[in-house]
Amino acid sequence: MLFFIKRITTKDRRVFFLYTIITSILISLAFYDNVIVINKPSYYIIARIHTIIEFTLISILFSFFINNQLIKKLVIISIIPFILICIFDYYFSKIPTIAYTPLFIECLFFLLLILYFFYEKISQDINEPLLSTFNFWIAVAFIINFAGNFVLFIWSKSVTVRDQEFKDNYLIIYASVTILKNILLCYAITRRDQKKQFMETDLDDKNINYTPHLNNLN
Amino acid sequence: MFLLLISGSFLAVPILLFVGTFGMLLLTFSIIYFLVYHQKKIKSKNAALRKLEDEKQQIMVRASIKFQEEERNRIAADLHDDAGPLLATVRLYLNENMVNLDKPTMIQNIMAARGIVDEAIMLIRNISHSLMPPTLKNFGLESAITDLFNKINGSGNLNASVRFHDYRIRLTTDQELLVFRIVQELINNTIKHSNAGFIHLTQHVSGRKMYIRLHHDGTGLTQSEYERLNDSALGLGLKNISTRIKVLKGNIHYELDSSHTYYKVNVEIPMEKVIKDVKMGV
Repeated sequence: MLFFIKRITTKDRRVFFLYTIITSILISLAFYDNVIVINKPSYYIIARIHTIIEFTLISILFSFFINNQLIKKLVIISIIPFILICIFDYYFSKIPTIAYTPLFIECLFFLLLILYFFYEKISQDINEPLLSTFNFWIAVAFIINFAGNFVLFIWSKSVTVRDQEFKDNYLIIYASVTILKNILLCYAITRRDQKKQFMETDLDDKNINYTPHLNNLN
Repeated sequence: MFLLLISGSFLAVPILLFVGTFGMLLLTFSIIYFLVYHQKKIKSKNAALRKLEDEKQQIMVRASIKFQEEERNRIAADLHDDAGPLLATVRLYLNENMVNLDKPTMIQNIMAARGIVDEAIMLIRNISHSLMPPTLKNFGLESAITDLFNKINGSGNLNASVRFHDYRIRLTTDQELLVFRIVQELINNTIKHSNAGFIHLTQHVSGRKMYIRLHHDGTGLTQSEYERLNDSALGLGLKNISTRIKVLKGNIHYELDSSHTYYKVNVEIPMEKVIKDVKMGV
């Protein structure tokens, strides 16, 4: 924990820290509701709240990673329609269930956003070593998570919510992908931001002093 | 997937769900792999380019140092071979036995010594002028280049002409000296290698750039030949031109005229900073 807190040095890391704290609280509550108390309706509400908070915080996190100002704004603005979709989905669902439609939208949205982030990485920050940066590993963790669950969420629309076989499969795939994501997120935290050092190197290259040449020529 | 296998429920997972999830993960890993591979490839390319650029820079610096050394050697040789013997001769004339000589011989010796001292003064002045032409310092680039062309014309071997269309705004002293050295080197090369019958220089200003065009009817260089020579270890003079052009932040272009009769060298010099300086000076 101390190791984790020591590394909260930038805004994006603060958002990530908040995301992990809120997610762990909500997962604990969901576990308490689903396994200990077995109170299904409140479990589904917690899962829906978790979806909204997850979308909001990951959007804010990626708005720090992306350089394009327009995309940044769009990412932040997209939180509002997503919350509205979640609310509509909650009111129109006949029985208490996991919010598969918002989860599917969230998956699709972040898959596209992370692909755009990768595009920016290869077209702009070519000097920054990808494998040693915090934001790259965060993006890798989330893209694996969303890609892994994408088919699952599509599939979820074609089965009944009470299908026990699907629920087992859902749990297995979701758990596998989430464990992989969490391992990658833990690894991401150990990475330091090296952007500043590289910017300084770039400046050194640009400030070539021609005066000695001029003196030599004279 | 590992959990799927160890849970024993692998067969219970619908095959489509499994293939779909696996496919998505495979696609994701491929994208990540491509990203890392692409960056490594670009970085190695950039490193190679930077290395080439560094090597070129090194050649330039070495050429510049070599040129400076050659210039020093030339001055040392001039002083040692010409000024040294002259002053030694003067010393001979003005030896201590001079007081014992009869008056007419003494006067004759003094006059001879005076003539040699005048010669030494002229020699030192010539060395000094070759380092920094006084016309350039006092009257500017136009006068210095005109003076240079007049001297070439005076030799009678080459027909040289110069025309400045617009030189109302002067370059800075440093820039003028650099341009003068470039022109001097270009003319030097033309005289040495081209076997030209005439050489003509024109100057004009367009926008905030000054253009100098030199053309001659001898054998010259094209841009590709210039670049090849400039990149090789040969062509010290060309490297000096290139370094000076770089300092001026200008461009140089060698070409053969469309009529295949003349070779042209175009020098482009940005004047933006100079205009500001003049305005500030005013």
